Amino acid sequence: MKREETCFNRRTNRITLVILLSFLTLLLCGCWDRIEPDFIGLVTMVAFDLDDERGLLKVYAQLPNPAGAGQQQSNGGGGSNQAMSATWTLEASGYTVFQAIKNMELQSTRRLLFTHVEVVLFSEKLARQGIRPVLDFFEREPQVRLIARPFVVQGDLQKLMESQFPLEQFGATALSKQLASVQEEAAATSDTDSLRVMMHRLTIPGWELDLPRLIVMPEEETKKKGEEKTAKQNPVLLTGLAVFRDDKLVGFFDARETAGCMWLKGAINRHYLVLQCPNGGERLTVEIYEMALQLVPWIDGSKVHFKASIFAEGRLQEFSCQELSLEEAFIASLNRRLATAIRNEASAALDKARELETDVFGLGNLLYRTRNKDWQCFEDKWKEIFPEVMVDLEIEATIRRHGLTLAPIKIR
Amino acid sequence: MFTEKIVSRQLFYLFFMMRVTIIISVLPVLTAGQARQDAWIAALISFFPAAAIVLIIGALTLVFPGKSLIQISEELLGKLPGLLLSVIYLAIFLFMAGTDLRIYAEVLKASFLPETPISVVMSLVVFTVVLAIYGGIEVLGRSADIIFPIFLLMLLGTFSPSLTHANFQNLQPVIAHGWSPLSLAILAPASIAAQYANLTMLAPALDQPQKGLKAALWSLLAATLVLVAFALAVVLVLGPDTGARSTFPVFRMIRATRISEFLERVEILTIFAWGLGLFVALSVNLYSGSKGLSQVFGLHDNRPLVLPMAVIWVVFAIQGYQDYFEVAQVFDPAFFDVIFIPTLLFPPLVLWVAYLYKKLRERKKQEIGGRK
Repeated sequence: MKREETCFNRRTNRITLVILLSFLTLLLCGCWDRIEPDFIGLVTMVAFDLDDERGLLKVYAQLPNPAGAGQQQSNGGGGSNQAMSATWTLEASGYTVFQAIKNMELQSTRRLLFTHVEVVLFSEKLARQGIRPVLDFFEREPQVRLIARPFVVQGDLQKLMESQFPLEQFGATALSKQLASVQEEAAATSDTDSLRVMMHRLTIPGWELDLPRLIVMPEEETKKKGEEKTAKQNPVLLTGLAVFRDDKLVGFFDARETAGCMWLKGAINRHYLVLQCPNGGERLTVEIYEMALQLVPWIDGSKVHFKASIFAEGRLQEFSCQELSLEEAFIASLNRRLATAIRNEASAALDKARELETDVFGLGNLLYRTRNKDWQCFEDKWKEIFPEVMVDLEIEATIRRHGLTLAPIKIR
Repeated sequence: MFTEKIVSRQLFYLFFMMRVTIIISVLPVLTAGQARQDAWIAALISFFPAAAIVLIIGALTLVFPGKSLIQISEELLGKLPGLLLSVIYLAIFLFMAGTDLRIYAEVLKASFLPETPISVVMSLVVFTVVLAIYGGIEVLGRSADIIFPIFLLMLLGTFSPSLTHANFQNLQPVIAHGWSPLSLAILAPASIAAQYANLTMLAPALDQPQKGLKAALWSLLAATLVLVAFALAVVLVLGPDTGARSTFPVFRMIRATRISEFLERVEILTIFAWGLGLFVALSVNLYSGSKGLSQVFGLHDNRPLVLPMAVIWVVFAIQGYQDYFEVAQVFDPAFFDVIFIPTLLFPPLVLWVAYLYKKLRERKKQEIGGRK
């Protein structure tokens, strides 16, 4: 009796299981949001520009072209004249970003997906007008992620979007790699490496935004008509800062001023300085591999002062002077030269920032963070006060190592 | 018919996952009120008012071990008034479940499935929940045993990669504008302790009902620590402003995280954890709701009520809120602290008064009897 019961139970269980499993097939036919892969165009790079004549926003999108990329690989990079390009660039305008994208889709055989955007470019023209109108697109739309890397482009935006890179197939990969390696190896560009940091900097008090600057290289003239279009030079140079006040671009820092700015932000990863030899016309190079920054504000009535103490450690990277003496006085004079060079860079950055009236160092933010009561008096007029803020530089630079050779070669 | 029992460990798991899921999804310490970079402090303090709410509700289960709120109110207030009082709690279970369900469905709809009808998303979740409740409270308890480690792992997977981007300057200045901006940020997560109303229905199912309150308080403490961790993580990674403007701050934080050049887009872990946590939250609410209703009607079993209630839920979750703007207002202090919390605390407070009054009268009777 009991056994029969369990048998019966097992059977009903089995029947229920079969019914339940058959329900799963309903899910197989896909959901409402299914997209077939060959209907998707994945945008990896977007660029924003202004259409002056019509007063519209111009948006460019670059998509990797799977067919073109495959062809290039199989041809070993060279081959027929009709080689398809590895990327495809689209352009459209609209009053809003979304409208421009919808207009763009009219020219595309595939549905544009912005889930894999790696690089976001702003043209100089748009940046000078203010980037706020396009920001909401990154935050509200679930497709774009804040891990994308922002740049400001000086020069022809469209040309950059369509250009090919010697070492990379796709523009987006090329630019993000370029940014990563420049940030790693030199203090020549901004440390803003994602939309996340950009958004954050735009929203905190007393710290203006800076973005990496891309300079589009002039066209090579040697290229003849019908000649195969493989890139011989990198189409773009990554150097300097694009400096903002609020959301508007106000100017650029060159490489030297950028380094100065990085000293004052304490953000130097690796940097080099070329100095004159103590006795002679030759030059020596010091690479900085470690630094620390201490910024202390003090307030004197209605005036704000900062004391910036920079500690830097470097190693001798190149030494083409005649003699490397181990005397203390000689080393000290090298260190002094190094400190002076650093001071010059930092003051160049300070001067430029004062000229542009924009606090890219976050001095105001330091007040906001550490002396909030005082900040509340300055908050509203900080942008006007900033150019008059005094920054005392105190620099301690040491050359710690000399590399694998002690004395330079002596030719007899 | 055998009695179904769970143990206090499982109760701890259930409450922990329930609270963490909701509190992490909208992170009210940051999004409600003006706490900004002090959100983590608000999160820490919110333990105390939340614990007070849990105590007021939960201590009843100590005085009347093995009895649910419906049975307690019937015993103390009599048949009809007790029934009226219990209806308030049944409505709260319905409200909380509907809101949880809507929030989860909105996350999916806003982020992944813009075209899928919201009713489909909800029905699939609720269908799973119904199956679990048909299995009974024991099945729920055991599934909590299985889900909990996975859930914890997913939380870790969400939290730890964010630390690669942590910028501790974002935490300054600390309490720059005094404590008053914190008050709302403290009250909002505290009011979500309303979930512990389920304790009044779950405690009778414990093998040792006296341990229920303790497990609930421990789960509250653990969930508070998780809340502190995530409030910190969001502020450290996104900054206070971007975090506070987000609809789902933790979700945005994890999406903005690039662990390395080749490892990014790990938000699937977060969504996975939410899915599991939501399953638990909905199951517990459905169990409490159906159990309570069956006791009101004097039924032996809550199972016949499960399916119809589930359908009502989906309808409520869809019809209860016109749009997400309205859902967002649920966490508005004007509603939560002025209407919801008094409603939540009204039944247990009435019961406490009734209980103390009864005790007092008994003592007087005894004294009079003693004199005689």
